[in-house]
Amino acid sequence: MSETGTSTRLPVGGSLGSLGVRLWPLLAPAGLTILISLLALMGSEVLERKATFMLINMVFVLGLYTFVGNSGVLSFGHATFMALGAYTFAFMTANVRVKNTTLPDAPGFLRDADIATWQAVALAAIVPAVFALIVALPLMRLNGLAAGIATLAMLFAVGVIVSQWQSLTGGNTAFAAIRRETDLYYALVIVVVLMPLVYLYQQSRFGLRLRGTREDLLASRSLGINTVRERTIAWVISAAIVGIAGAMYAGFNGTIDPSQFFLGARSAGGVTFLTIAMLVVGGISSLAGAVVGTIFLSGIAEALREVEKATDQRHITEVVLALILLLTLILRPRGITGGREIYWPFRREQTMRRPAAAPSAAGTSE
Amino acid sequence: MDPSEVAQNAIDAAARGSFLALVALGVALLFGIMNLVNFAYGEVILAGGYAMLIFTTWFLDASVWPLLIIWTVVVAIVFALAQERLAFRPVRHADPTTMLVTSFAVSVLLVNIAIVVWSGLARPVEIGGVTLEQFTAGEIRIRKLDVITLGAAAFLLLSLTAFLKRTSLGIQMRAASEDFRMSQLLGVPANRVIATAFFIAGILAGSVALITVGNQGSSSPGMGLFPLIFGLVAVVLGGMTSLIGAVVGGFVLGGLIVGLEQGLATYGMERFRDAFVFLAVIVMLVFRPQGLVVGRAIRERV
Amino acid sequence: MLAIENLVVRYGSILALRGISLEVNEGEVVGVIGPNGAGKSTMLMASAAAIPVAEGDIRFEGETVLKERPEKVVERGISLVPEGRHIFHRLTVGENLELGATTRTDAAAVEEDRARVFELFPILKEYLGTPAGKLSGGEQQMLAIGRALLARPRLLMLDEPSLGLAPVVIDRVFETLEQLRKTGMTILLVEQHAERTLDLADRVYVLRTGSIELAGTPEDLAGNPQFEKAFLGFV
Repeated sequence: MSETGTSTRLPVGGSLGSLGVRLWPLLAPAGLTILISLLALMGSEVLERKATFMLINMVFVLGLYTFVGNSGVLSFGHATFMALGAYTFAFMTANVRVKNTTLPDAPGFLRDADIATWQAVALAAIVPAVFALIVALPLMRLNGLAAGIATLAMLFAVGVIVSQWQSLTGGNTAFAAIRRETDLYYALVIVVVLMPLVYLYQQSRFGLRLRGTREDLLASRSLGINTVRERTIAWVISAAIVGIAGAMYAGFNGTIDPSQFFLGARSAGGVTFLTIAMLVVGGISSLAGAVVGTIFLSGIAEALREVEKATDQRHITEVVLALILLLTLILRPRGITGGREIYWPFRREQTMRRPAAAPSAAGTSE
Repeated sequence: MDPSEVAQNAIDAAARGSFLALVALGVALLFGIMNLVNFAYGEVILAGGYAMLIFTTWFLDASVWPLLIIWTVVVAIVFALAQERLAFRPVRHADPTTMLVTSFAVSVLLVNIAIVVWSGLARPVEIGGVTLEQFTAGEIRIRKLDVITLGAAAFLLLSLTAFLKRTSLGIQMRAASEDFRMSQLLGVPANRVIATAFFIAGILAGSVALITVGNQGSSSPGMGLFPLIFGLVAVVLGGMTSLIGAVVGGFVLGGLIVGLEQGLATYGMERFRDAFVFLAVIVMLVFRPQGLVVGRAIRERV
Repeated sequence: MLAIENLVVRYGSILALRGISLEVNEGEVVGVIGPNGAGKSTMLMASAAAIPVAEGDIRFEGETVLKERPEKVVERGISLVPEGRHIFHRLTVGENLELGATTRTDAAAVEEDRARVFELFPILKEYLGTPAGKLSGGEQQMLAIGRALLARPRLLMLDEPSLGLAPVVIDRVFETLEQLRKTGMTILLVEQHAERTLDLADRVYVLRTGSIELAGTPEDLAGNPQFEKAFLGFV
């Protein structure tokens, strides 16, 4: 309710200053992200890599938020899109000679592909988006638990195909020699481009309609909102964004394999857990929540990775992150931000937000 | 297919089906009582598996198998009850999605604790050669473990049925799984039926752990994941809200898996078996969300 | 016996009850009538400690029920027959009745009460082994009332017992309530059916959009033009 309150707010005026105030829910998280990235630039190379990794996760979480946050439908399946994006990017940019040796049975156009990085990133958005559009037909009709299980089934089904289709993907062996161009600047540019798009979608009439279905499915249906269509729009956009995260990750790591994306005996929660934790801990239903959650958990995770290195004890990070997620769910289920955006703290027109409804609704919707 | 091959497949399907039915029953029991899809149920199985490892390395060897069975089941029960008390009771009144994320968090937590303590690798459990033995009748081979699985499943299913039909606590459980709020209005204590559900789920998970370790001869951090996922699949196929549906779903899935293996092998595609299984889940959720056996309506008015 | 004081209940941002007060004395039949969405069911659910209360108090025999678990409220003597009956369809009639006696420890007395319920509703005895879902709507309502009686309540609360039933069956339900009243049972009845409620009740409250609008004896209300226009006109 509090989010819908924002979007119904009247424009305050035409000046640049008031535009800034109006865009504060976007500017604040974006500014915070840029600030942290710049601070990391001044630090060591290790710090820079950690910040880059944070930004990759942020792109994933922004994508996840676009669907889950606006629709209120949980997805365990978004790592599928990341994998599709990563493999697309890998095919398009990995060293041609290496590809021809390791994947002799893959189609020629994939083995010999060698396109510009930005084109590969674009393709890494398009492929998952098209896939998302196809699976949306059945999936977007489902609500609640059924949706959660179906997205999980999608993750596993694609995971089986990617890891078993030896001749195409190399199966469980690592896909190597991917063009490594993801650095902090590159990641920051992508975040700075995508975050306003996510905010724009959320404030658009599409986003507003989808949020309506989140608050009250029946009521919005009676207003003529086509839930399946609105969800599909968000789902496809979100798949494209997460696909880009996949491309960034592939270009960051240089090698990829299925266990990095899919749930399996070895992954122990993996990226699916990490990103859901970030979104839930930050606050599932606001852009601010997605960004704050990513920054917060990335900070903790990267600090713990150092502890792991020092003690030679792996997986402490996952234990602590799972504990943080559990405590959040029990003590503060709406996340750090409470699912609200960050507003300009000094403005007078606070009263323009819907007064009584916002605080009391916070505890119950969803 | 000649008759002995048919018989062999039927036996395989029944053995897998009864195993899956046991897992599915645990999943469905918790779902029926508190609308919880418990991912962390797999880690109750995991706890049972590592309990076996501890028993065989620290206490006694597996020749005292009655003690091993009791110990494993008791540890699983304790873990199940602890999950309920520590993680799920605080979010009991939250929406199903929040509970789902909670169970995911519990699952990840326990798997990673297992990795921290016992490393990510499978640890062999010395349980003797019993489980490798098999009977042969003509061309049909029957593994001893499959017979044990079938026997255990039959025993547990019959005991559970008797408990649910004959005892007043069992009737309260059935009432709560049909209409939780109404059962409360009649004075059925919420804590009691939920704890009982976790208790029974713990017994089932302990049994599943015994069978799983018997099968693979080791305990590993991932050992709970696949039983849980396939149990969930079975529950979706059979019907989320009916215990009979869970059992039916387990056997249907057992048959489906064996059938898919046979069918896909002709095309050399048996590696993709599980992709078809998960596809079946999506198809089922979309076209027949109530499952094969219809229980109550999933969404209740609050 | 039951005293509701300034009760406020919220569903999220919606105010379902805006500070209502109401009293039921021992041996009395109190009716609450009002249109859909007035908050009638909410009031009963709150009295059964089945939903959280924002403000105010509900006391039963002098002691609050607000911090109680639902099963303790049943033990203390309040039974609710909720709207839509909520019998357990997949359980047999016998099992449904057994659940009514969940909080009882006096087996012999339960047996007596069962006999009394069968006296009241002979049909239930015939269907003991039948799944309750197979019963007709009227029979289900009888089962729901019988089940509630097995808790041996001192206060019986009924939520729209006439809902969705044929007129002749409604007659039967109200006859039963009349019989119960004669045994001295205290009853709090929520109904949309104003006329029948006026016939049965000693006192009546009118609830509308979360507030009590009118209160009084049936005679008082029947003479009140405001009331006649709002309720009796539609019946």
